[in-house]
Amino acid sequence: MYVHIFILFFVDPNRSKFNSKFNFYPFLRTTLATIKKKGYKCDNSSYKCIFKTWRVTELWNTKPFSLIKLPFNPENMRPFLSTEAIEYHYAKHHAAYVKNLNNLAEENCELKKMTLEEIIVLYNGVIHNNAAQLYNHNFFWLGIKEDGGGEPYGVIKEKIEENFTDFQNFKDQFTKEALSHFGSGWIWLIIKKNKLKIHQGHDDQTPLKGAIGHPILTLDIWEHAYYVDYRNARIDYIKEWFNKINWDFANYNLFASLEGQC
Amino acid sequence: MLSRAVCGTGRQLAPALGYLGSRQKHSLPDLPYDYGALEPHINAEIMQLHHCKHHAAYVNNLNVTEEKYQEALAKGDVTAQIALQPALKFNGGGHINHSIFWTNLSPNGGGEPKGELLEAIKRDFGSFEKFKEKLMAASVGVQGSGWGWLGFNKERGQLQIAACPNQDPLQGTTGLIPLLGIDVWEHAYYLQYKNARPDYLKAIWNIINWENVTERYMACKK
Repeated sequence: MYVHIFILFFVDPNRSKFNSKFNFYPFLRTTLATIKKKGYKCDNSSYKCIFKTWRVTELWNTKPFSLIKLPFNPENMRPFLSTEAIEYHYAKHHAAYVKNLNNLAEENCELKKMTLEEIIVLYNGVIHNNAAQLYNHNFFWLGIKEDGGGEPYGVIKEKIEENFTDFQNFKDQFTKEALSHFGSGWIWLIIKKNKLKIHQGHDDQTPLKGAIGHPILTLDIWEHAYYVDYRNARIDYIKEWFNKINWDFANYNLFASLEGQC
Repeated sequence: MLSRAVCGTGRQLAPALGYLGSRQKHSLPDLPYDYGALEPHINAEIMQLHHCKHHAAYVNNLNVTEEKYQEALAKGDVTAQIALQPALKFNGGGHINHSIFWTNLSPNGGGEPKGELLEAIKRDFGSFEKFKEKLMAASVGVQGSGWGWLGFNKERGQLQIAACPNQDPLQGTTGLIPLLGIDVWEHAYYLQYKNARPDYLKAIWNIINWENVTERYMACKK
C-alpha cells in the first residue's frame, strides 16, 4: 500500500499539488488504475454512467483547471453519503468552482501557469475563494473511500497516538471541533512542526495560507455537505465520516509533509 | 385558516434555574403561521427544521451561554467573559435574526410596499425594482453563511442594504436598524432549492410581509 507513494512524479495536468513538491496525481492515478483493473466500463449497469448523467465528464478535461474524477462509486458511500448528496455536492458545487476558476483564468492570464496552492497563498477575494474551494473539495473526496474507515494504520496511526493518546480520543477531539464551528467551513487534520493538530477553517479557508500547517485530511462542514442526508444533525454526519476515511491518503499527505526530514 | 406553528419543545428548552430567576430566559417565539403556510415558496419541512431545530438551538445555546456569562461576571473572570463573546454573538445573533425573519414573512405577503416605505425606497434606491436587485445581489453574494438586510441608517435617515456574515446581528455590528432580513444560510433553502440560491431569492419575494417591514420602518423614524 505504500508502493504508490514512491512512484515517480508525473506532470500535473490539473495544476494542483498537495504540497510544494509532491504531486498527488500518482496517488490518484494508481487509485483509478485499480478501479480500471476491475473492468469498469460505462455500460447500463456501471456507475461510470452516472457521471455522464450528471454532465460532469466534459469538466474532467477542461483547462487550465479541471474537475477530478471521483475516486469512488457514488452509489457505494452510504450510509455516510447518499448518491443524491454526492451528485449535488460534486456535480453542482464542486463543478461550479472549476468553471468559475477557468473563467477567472481567462480574465487573469497569470493564473493559467499557477498551481491551486500558489493561487490560494497569493490571492484573496473571488480568485482565492474559487481556487481554495476547488482545492478543498478535491482534498475532501480523496480523503474518503468505499471501504475506508476502521482503525488508522501506518505512520498516521503512530502520529495519532503520539498527539491524541489514542484513536478514540482523536475522534472525540475532532468531533468537538467540528461541532463547535460557527457557520460554514472545513475541519482540517494538519501537521505542523511534526505535531498533528485539528484546525477549524472558516468558509473557504485552508491551512495553506499563513502556513498554518500541512493538510492531512479534511471534512466539509458547509451545510450543503450534510443537509440532504442528515438535515441539521451535523454530529451524525461527522460520526459516519470516520467510517469512510481513506487512511492511505492521510499517510500519503503525512509522508509528503515530512519531505526533506530524515 | 391560519394557525401558529408551535415547536413541540419550544417552551421547555432550558431547565429552570432558581438562582437566575431574576433574569428572563429567552424562549423560542411561535411562528405567526403554520409550517406549510409559505408553500410553494418555502416548503413545510424547511420551515419546521428551521424553526424547531435551528432557531431552537440558538435560543437554547444563548441561554446556556448567558448562564455561563453570569457566572463569569459574578466571579470577576474577565478571561472567561471574553472567551464567551463568540458564542454570545453567534447564538444571540441567531435568535435576534430569526425572530425578525419569521415576522418578515407571511402567506399573504408579496407584491410591493405602499405609502411611506415605498416612497423611502424610491428615494434611496431609485425604484422598487432597483432596490430588489440590490438586495438580491447582496444576498446572493454572501460567501458562506449569512444574511442580506434592508436596514435603516438613523444618522443619515436613509434606507441601506447590507450583508452580514454568519449570525452577526445587523444592529449590533453595523448600527443599522433591521427592517427586512433574508436568511441565506443553506439550511434556509437547501432541501427545496439545493444549490440554486438565486431561485430561492426570487421565490421569497412572494411572501415578504410588507406590513411588518413598514411597521419596523415607522418605528425607526420615531
